Amino acid sequence: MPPLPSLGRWALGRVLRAVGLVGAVLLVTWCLVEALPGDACSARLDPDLDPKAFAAIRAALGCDAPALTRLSADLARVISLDLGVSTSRHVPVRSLLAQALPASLVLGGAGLAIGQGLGWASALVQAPRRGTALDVGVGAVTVLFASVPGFALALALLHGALAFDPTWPATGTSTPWLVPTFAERLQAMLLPAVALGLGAAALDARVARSALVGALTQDHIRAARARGVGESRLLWRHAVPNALLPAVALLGLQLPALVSGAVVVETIFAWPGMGRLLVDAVHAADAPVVLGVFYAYAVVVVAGGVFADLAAVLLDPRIRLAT
Amino acid sequence: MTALRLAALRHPAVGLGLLLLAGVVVPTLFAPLLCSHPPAAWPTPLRAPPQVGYWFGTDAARRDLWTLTLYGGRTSLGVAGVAALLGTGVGAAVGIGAAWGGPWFDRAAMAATDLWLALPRLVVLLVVTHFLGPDGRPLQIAVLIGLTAWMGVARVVRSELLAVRELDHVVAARALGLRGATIARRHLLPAVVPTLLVWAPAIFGQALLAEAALAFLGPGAGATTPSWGALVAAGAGQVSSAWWAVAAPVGAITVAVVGAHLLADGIRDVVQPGASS
Repeated sequence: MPPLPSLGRWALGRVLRAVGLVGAVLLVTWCLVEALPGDACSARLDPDLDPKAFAAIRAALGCDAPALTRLSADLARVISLDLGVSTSRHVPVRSLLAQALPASLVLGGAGLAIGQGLGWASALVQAPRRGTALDVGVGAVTVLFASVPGFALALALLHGALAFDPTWPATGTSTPWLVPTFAERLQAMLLPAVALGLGAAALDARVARSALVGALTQDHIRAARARGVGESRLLWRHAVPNALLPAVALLGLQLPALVSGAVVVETIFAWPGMGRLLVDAVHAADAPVVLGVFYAYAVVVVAGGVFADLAAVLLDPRIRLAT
Repeated sequence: MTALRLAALRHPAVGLGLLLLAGVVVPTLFAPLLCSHPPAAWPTPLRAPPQVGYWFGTDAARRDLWTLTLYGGRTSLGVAGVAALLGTGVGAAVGIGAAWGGPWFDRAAMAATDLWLALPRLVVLLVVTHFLGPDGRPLQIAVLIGLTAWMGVARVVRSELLAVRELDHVVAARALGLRGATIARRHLLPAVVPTLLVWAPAIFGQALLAEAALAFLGPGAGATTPSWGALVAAGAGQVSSAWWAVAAPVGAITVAVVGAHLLADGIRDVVQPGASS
């Protein structure tokens, strides 16, 4: 058996791989945009301009430089966080992202918490009663919630709340994040977070249930039961800690799905996060913002994956051997 | 294999899943026979609730939703079907290549898989359709969705084949000097067919949801071709006056995706007993 690498060494390797991944994302998107017709100059310049002036400005802006020169210049810009200027709002992309990122992180965190909470709650109901009507019933509900489109869930919550209380601050306020009091902020965040959380909960419940069932069918559980350990102690002290690991390991893989869900939810609830920024930018054909949001999402997802892996290694040091 | 097939059909989840899928696919296929109003019938009543003759009601543009849902299903189900085939196929090819193509190809394939896994699907789709322009055609959308759906298949196929390639009959085939392509076709592919059968319906369900979300958010995508996602996008603004304009396509999507999930879960139960419960 090879020696276990130290935690610091393992973490360093993992972070380096993550940096490489983000670099690869940058490189691939740059090549993709390069392969498409048109470039930054032709997008910025009036096509009816005098051809001579057009060529002169192109040369001055550096659009005619060799691809490698432009690649290194573009990468240097992105690394120094200069993401260009929005073509529709005429402000630096960086400041748009600086406003949108916190709003998205807060909403995503709340959605993740609701999803994991609901998911584990239903798994804790299901797993000890495996095969009973209750297990199958809860399982059917999770399949249903995993199958309803996210926007349908969000629309139903939105219109349900408005039917219940027409003054509910669900939509129309373009800046729910900036309302004065904490209670109002919480109210504005409640529905989007629940909409995001319900979609995630369906997946979390399935993952947590199968992890818990796996942990409950181990021999040591049977041995503990034979020596008279109570059922609730079996579940909470013997099974749940072991089931946490696969669930945490999957957390990193789940983040991209959470981001996709957030794009829909932010659009429907007019939440001023990155998802809505992206959708608005797509509608306005605002390439710098589209790419800026794309990079920001890639960094957030990759960083989230590092944290999920770190949590998994803290729970089970043996994982260090595998990577 | 025949025994497996019989067992699969007797599994309740497989049966129910197939039933739900057939309930959506069959009416869509026979849409011309089932619709008394052509897709753009005029004039039908404005925002009529579901009733005899207008089974799913009509929307604010006086269109009959029963007709729209059936014809829109052709686009949505077709896109999801192509995406599922493509996703499974690419995933199987990458997985087989990674397991059989030597350490360098393996490393490159797995790096590409990790790269794609790190990107949120809907964000990639929105960005690429943005660069494609507003008139994204269904086939382009289908290919794009398929190209964002192969990573799970590739990882599972690779890890299964790492064990299969050490089996005696595969080692013997290599010792006999069979070509790599022959071994892949005769010995590796059959070993992962059960896995592909589990993943194909799962990707089909994901693709339906992705197509709908994309049409809902996208820059007027699907404006020319009716699809379930485009119907939801059109109906979302009139939920309070005509909820059925959203309920009809959402219901169709949900039934189809539940069917696909049940089918995938049921097949997994049959081919890998003990994997989930």
